[in-house]
Amino acid sequence: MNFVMPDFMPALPEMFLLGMVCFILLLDLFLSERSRVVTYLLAQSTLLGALLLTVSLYEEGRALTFSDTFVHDPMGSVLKVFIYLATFLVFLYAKDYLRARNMFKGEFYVLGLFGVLGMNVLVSAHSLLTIYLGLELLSLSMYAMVALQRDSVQASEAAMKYFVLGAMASAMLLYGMSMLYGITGSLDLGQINTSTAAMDNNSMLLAFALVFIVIGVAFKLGAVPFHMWLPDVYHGAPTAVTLYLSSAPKLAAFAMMMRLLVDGLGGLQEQWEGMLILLTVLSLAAGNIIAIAQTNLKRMLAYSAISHVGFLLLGVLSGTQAGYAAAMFYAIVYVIMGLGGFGMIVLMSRAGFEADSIEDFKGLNERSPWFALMMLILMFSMAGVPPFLGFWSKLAVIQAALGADLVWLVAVAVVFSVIGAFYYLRVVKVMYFDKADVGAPTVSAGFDLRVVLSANSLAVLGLGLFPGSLLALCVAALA
Amino acid sequence: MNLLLIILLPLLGALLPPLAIRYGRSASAWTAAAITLAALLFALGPLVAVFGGAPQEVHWTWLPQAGLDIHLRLDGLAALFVLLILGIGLLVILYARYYLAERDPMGRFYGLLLLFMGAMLGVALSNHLLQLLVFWELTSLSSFLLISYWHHRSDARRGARMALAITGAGGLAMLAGFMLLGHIVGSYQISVILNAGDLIRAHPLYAPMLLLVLLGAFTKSAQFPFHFWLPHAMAAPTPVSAYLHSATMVKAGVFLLARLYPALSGTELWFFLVGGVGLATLLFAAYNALFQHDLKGLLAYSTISHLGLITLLFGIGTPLAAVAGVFHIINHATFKASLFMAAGIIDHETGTRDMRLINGMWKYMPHTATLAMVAAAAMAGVPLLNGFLSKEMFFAETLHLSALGAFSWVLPAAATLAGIFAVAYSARFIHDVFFNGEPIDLPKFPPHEPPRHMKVPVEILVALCLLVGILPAITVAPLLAVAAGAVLNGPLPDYSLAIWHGFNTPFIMSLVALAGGIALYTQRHKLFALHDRVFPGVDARALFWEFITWLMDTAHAMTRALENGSLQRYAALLLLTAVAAIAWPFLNSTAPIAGPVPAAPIDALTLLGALVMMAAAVVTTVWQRQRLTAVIALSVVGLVVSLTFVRWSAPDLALTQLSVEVVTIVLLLLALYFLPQRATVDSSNLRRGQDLLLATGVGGGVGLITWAMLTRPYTTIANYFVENSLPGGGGANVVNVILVDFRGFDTLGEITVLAIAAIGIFALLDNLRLEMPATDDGGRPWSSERYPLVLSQLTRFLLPLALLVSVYLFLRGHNAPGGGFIAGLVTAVALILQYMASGIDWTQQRWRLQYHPIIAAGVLIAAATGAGSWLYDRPFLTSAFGHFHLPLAGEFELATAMLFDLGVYLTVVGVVMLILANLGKLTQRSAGEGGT
Amino acid sequence: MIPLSNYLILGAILFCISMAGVFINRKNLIILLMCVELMLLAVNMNFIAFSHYLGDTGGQIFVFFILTVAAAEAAIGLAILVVLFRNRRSINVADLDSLKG
Repeated sequence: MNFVMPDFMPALPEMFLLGMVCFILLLDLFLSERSRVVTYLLAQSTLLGALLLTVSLYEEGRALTFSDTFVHDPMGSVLKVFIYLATFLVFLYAKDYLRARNMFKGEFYVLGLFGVLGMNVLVSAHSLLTIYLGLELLSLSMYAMVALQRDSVQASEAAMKYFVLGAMASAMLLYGMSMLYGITGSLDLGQINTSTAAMDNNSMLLAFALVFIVIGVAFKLGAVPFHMWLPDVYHGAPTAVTLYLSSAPKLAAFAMMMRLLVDGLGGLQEQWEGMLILLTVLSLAAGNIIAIAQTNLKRMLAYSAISHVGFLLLGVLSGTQAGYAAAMFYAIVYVIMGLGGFGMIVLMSRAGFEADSIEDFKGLNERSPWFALMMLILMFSMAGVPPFLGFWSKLAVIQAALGADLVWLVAVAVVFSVIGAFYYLRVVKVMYFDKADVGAPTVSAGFDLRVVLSANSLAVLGLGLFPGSLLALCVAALA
Repeated sequence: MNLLLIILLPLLGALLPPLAIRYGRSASAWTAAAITLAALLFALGPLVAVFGGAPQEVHWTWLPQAGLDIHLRLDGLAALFVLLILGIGLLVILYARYYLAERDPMGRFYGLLLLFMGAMLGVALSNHLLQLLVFWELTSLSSFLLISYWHHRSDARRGARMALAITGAGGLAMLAGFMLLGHIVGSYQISVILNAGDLIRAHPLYAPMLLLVLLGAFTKSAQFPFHFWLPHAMAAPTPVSAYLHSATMVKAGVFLLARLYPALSGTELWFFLVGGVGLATLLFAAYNALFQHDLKGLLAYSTISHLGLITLLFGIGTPLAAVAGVFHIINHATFKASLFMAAGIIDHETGTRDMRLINGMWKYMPHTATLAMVAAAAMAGVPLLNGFLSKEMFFAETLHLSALGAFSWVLPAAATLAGIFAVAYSARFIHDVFFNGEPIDLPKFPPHEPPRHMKVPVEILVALCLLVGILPAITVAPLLAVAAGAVLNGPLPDYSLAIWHGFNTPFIMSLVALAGGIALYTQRHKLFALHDRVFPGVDARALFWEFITWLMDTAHAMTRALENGSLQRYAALLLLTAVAAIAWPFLNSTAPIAGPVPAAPIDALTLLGALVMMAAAVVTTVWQRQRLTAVIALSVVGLVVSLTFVRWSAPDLALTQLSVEVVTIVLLLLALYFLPQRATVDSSNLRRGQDLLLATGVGGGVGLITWAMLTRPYTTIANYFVENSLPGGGGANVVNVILVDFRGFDTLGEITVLAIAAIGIFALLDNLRLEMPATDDGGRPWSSERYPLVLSQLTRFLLPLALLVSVYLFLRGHNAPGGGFIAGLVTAVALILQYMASGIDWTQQRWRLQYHPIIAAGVLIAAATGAGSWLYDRPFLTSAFGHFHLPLAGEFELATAMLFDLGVYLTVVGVVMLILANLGKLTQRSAGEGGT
Repeated sequence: MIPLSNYLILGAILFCISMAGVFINRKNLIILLMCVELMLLAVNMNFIAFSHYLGDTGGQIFVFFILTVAAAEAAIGLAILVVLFRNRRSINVADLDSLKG
């Protein structure tokens, strides 16, 4: 008997990433403080290289490899491309910020790239083991990154909270996985799907396993009531790291949910649908209402992220291809908007000053009308006002939910997004109507940051006018 | 194509006026006017066709995935709105040229105005619900920017915010309604929906859908109880009020009612909802208008009242009422826009809008006064003016209603009452402003006539009022016919636009209204006093702000409850939710907890092991305050677990567990060294009892699940790996073979995890200095002999031995327990022992290695092995192996996998050393200083 | 036949104790970390027992991964703890209160 030939090709981008990270790790040791920019450039070109590899493999179609633990499919490829792009932007936005805080070190980039590797593994996982590995690759990188600003009380506290809760959540996920393994006798998601779909005398046990697994996924996504870490971590982490946390890992979390619940437990859709509905309602309610009370912009955006997760879940729980595509579209759109939002905070911050309070944006219109406009676009888009991109993503998931006859859930979603519009509006009001305090931050960021951040915001408008291609991509990826 | 151009011209043209402002203010205004004219020209062709009875339709695909195409349709109703929007828009542009002050940024004003115009045209021309919504929200947005045009004024800011909040929220509700509507019909195309009225009305979702759609319409058209934003939006520059808040934007709501009239109307719900809200708005606003002292405030409430009137007409639901509604849309737009412009002129010339100050303007600006008085008379419904005609039709319709049964007198009575108030406030507008003695303390004195061209737009509009009022049949009739025809989506009823219908009931009602209104006005001083006494400052705006405050309070309360920053609270929440989630299926299931499989007997040895483990776990938990004890107890648990692994015939795992345990304990000890020795006293007994209860709940739940799971039979899946282990990978140590061969990819991932941990820890701890306590908590000083001689000598002897063991384990890896991972751990432990026994400085002098390269090299080797075998077209990590014999050690197999194992080995050594060395180094310098 | 169920119950009991630990010792971070480790041990017991019961080695492999990854995780946790201790001079859970809504 021979081994099934594991094809190396589908995992080429991951291998490339791994090799490059090790290379950067080595090289960084021999770089002086002044030539650290080489690390930065290398990290960026690594992402671009991986991007090219992934794109060139896109046409390959679905393929399993490495004893069926790794899957290459269009959904994975699309998500990976956006993971690279998002991280590329994060690195770009964060450069000056890190430099001003004496954090411009190789570790940020090495850990960041390792995190990307973890996300890739998570995105392409086809067995419980691979999911766990990907998750830990990503989580460990993120724990360390949050604590990277060693002198900050807030950062270390955030890291500790993140770590303790994260470790507990992954222990629960593992407990669920162990039960799933016990029930089905396999770690392979495909086999698990066949066995669980056929089984029903064990349905109660499966329900238990499902509970633990949904908890693990919900924690990673930051859905209420497993969201507690998210505001504290977003708030406490250095903004450059918050930027990282809030972007690409959301896509990975979405992929994790898709792999576990759809690829692995698709036959139990009726059972997890109920749980997801609860998570959706709670996320929408808590996220939108609590956000109103926040004075810290990072915190506010954290709660906004929670409420967006509610919408994302709305797409997934409808349980149709259209719903999955809509959720994926939503995740990608959220990442684009989130990058812009946190990017604005990075833009306004300078050495020794975090522009993370809503107050810091007072009167931005007078100081920098252009970036006030950019922020306005981002806020309106997050609120879901047409014709910005955020509207189309909301529309897509709502349509999917209506298609699944979840009318009352749609009503809930709309009511809370109306409330949600209020706090986005407050930021706009502060920027346009309030007088700036003396010594309020001015925009003094580098040229590249200004240009790319503007492009980021304008993309929210531009893609909002022509959302067809992005949505088509998502639909095609899940077809 | 022309239809699209009509929308695109103003939308894209919005960029031009801000650019043209460089060539002067007039250039900017002319640009805006030219764009509007051009749009009007493009509209001409299609308009002519529509009047000929042929609605124009175009469509392009745009977003097929969301079922969204660009559908434009110009029918009678749209034609009416296009004419209103462009025609009045042109007049407003002209007016604003003179209205805006030198210091106002005119380019921005015209840009925003054109943006709004484009959006509004989009609303009118959309033949697709979602597309309509996009333009709808765009009107909210541009109106927000226009209201806040004078953003230095705080009332403008609040007004703008409130307007956006209310109309934006209404728009979102409408979105939900539209989606339901699309869901019911199966299409978002309006022309399709209009023909599916019966299907819609019979659908179970009709009521919620109607409610949501109406929410959007009512908020936009400022219907009671959402009316309050409109008076506050009057902070906007007057041209904006004239254009958006009387002629066009607020009409979008009633436009929507008219647009969807064939699809939604004709039910009792529609009648009571639309008619009821319309009636309430009509009366409430008419009453309130009388008591406004602000000139624009009066006009704003009057606008609300007239919008209520139109809403009521559509609510009544008879074809004639709908015709009257359309007619009143036209009439109201003309007279109200001119009134606002007149009010703007007065404001402009006197510097105030307070009617208690502005008196006797007739003397100062007779021309303007004449125009304003004619328009106000139209508003009051005086014969020979356009307002009279539609009001007359309204009165007639209220009489023919049978739906209310015995209460059918209510509607005519209410209509007459509203008419009385309308006359009264119109009279106030005329008398208070233009007569009533001399002006009081005007900021600008004396006022005079405005620039010639500022009056032109007013003149044109007033002329229209007169023309329509006197010669309706030859002026407005064709427009009304096509528009009403489109609203009804069917044959028109018989109606006549004559000025004189005879001395009938509606005419009597009109007379009563006129007489009553004038009588009411003469008694106004008593009435004002009464009003102030009865309704001291009742204002829906207060309710709005109260709601906002309530929302803020709720938000704060929720924050305090959920996000108090306490990790304890978070952890408890996490676990409790988990318990609840587990309990849910459990409680819902009727199946017995225990399944059919009987419990297997237990043997003594297993029992002993289990007891030791449980005891150790309990010790860990209970005596956790002595950290050292706790760590030792924990290690006991770990040991028993590794024994269990042996029992489960997994010796390699047991070895791994053992070495990992050792490393972890060393790690913990290193950390404990500088952390406080004893924990502070814990919480109260009550708290502990409560915690214990929680814990038991959680534990019991998990226990029950396991019990349920174990007593159920299940089948298993084939035993692939065991069967294939020797022939395929050349080894008998199943786990190791799988790790390096079958699952080489995952193992690669795993050592990457280790590398991440190491790098993270390095980043966190490198060059970090911690003060080491000089004594323990009991006050006893630490032993001054830091590196005991015996230990250091012994370890130096042990090192080569340990290294040998690890080499052996490494080589044996494939057949017996061992392999790169465990070998790496053993090596690392041996090296760590050196550190601990002899100190870091001593060791590092002899062991000059950087760990980063080791880790990187390890991962690279492992990855390259995989890549290499792939390049040679062999499966990942499984390739040529042969056996070779070493003296003493026995038979070895050499697989390329061994190279992979080497990578694992290097990584593990590097990682463990990096971590432990960094933790150990922490206290180094300060310890040395403290010691000597 | 070795009594599987008892081992699984043992796993469950371990899981319960660790959860109890999390609740009872909600004050001390290092104990919190240990309890999480205990939880993972419980998971390992489950996997091993199932693996044996099913005659499938997948579970053993998984345990191997959990073991090592958990060690790495613990190491990171300790490093964060050290940094936190240096900043705050306390490892009391209740002192973690600088971040809240």
